[in-house]
Amino acid sequence: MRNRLTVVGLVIGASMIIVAIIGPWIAPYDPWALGQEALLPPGDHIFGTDNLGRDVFSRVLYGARPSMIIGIGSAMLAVFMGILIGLVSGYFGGKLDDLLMRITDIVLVLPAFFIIIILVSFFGGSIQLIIMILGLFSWCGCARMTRVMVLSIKQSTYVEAARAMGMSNSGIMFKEILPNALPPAIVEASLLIGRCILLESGLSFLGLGDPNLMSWGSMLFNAQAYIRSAWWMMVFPGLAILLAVLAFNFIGEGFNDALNPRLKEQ
Amino acid sequence: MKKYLAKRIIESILVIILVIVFDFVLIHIAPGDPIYNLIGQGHVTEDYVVMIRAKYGLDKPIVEQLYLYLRSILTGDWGYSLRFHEPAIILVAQRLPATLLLGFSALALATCIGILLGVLSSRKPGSIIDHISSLVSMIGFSIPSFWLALILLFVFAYTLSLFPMGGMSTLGLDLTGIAYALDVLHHMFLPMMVLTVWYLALTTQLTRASMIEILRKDFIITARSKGLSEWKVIRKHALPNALLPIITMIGIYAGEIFAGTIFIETIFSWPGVGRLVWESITARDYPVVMASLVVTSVAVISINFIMDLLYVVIDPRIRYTRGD
Repeated sequence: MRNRLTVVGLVIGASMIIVAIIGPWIAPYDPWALGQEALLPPGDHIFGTDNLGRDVFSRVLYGARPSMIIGIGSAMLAVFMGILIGLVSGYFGGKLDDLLMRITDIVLVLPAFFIIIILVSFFGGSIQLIIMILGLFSWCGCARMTRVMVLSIKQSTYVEAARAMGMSNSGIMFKEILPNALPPAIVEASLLIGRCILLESGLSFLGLGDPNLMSWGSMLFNAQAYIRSAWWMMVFPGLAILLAVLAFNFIGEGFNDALNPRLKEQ
Repeated sequence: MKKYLAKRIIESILVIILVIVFDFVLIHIAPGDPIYNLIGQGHVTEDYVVMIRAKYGLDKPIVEQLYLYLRSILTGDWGYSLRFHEPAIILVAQRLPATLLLGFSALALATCIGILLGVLSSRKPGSIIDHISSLVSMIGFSIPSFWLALILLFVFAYTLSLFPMGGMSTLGLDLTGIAYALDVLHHMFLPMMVLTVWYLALTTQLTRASMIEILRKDFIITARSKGLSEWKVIRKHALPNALLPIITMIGIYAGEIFAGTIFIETIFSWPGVGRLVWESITARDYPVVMASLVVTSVAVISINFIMDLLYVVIDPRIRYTRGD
């Protein structure tokens, strides 16, 4: 069953990414075209239209792009930073390790979401800024995980052999240790994508984030005032967010099951 | 043990100070001059601007402002709200109980039900019930809280009129005692549900995974062969061991729970700190933002600290001695 779920996750995830890329071409209507309010079925508009008459289905399709870009982008940044820090911290140990782990602890304890909101609200919501900020607060899990793996891999015979052969530190780190330390990081990466998508939509929901972008969260922001009269404005973008995050969570769980056989059922 | 405690307390205090400094820096690198929140957009004389700056200490160098701020925080003076012209700390203190009520209720509910469901799932891994609960947990993880809040609001409050649309108690009614408590509970139900969902999913899955690990161990076989009933085995032997990761999680995610309250309190008009923080950020009401951040950080750090202490109580194998 779990395998099936993972496959479902992969399929949905892949479709989301595809939609993000080709969305604008397959959308039936121009998402910016104004009109009148309309209902769902029957109708020309599958998901209805919003208060300005714009087709919700097309908007959801267009909205995949910013949500995916920010979600995947910030997660990748976080994973990249996390793996690097974990690698260096675990490999060199000593004072450097202490320092890096202290920093990790402090970042973990900071009220991340509040600070993110403050930063985005003060400095504006450009895509680059949001990706950077989300990434800067999400790397701790990966760092810790990678470090733990590195600590145990460090002792292996093949690492010893590499050192005996005269391999440089960075060579050992990146060619011998890293490939073996990756699995938990990959799991964490998928879960992080889900969390970043949620974070981004949360920010957009509050009205922060780029107003020109049509992310799912900002659609929900607009839909708030119309819950009573046009509930479909709110339901479908949210459903899209749910599906996207769910997909990446399934993928992460799938990786987890594949790479951690201990937890499999008897 | 005492050494460890002392060390932890000092560390916690240092982190809190660090957070305060960080927040201060954050707010002061923001674009825009807080002066204009105080003066407004109208035409004012230069002298007036200078006077206001001096009065609020905004003309001093940043480092001096920081020092003065730290000093005033430690003496209990947390500044005045620029919006309400009341002491910031009073505002936060007024709203804190509401958030704590919501947060702890959700946490307690999620933990209890989560442990229960997790245990039930772990007893029959691979069964239909297990798969369904896993699926529901995954959905719980993935659902955007603000969306769930809007949906619950729409379905249960607006369409079915089962619950109030917002607020903490019914306006105009002066209820006391039990009636008041019930009224608050009635208002609290929907927001609490939303807050519970994510943590419930986490707890269920964690308990399940933990229990599955533990139920395979030898000491469980011993307990069973002693003739104990299955529930006794679970309750007395398996569960206490499984609790450890759950307690860790409470500490780690306490911060996230606070973060979640921003959405929920805003959507349900719940008069808590989350909503206060959000409104203050948009209004650039710096003293209140700072005060709320400090309070939230202190709360999260304290929760982590308490969880660490609970470890030792629950698992006698863990000892914070000189070795650590």
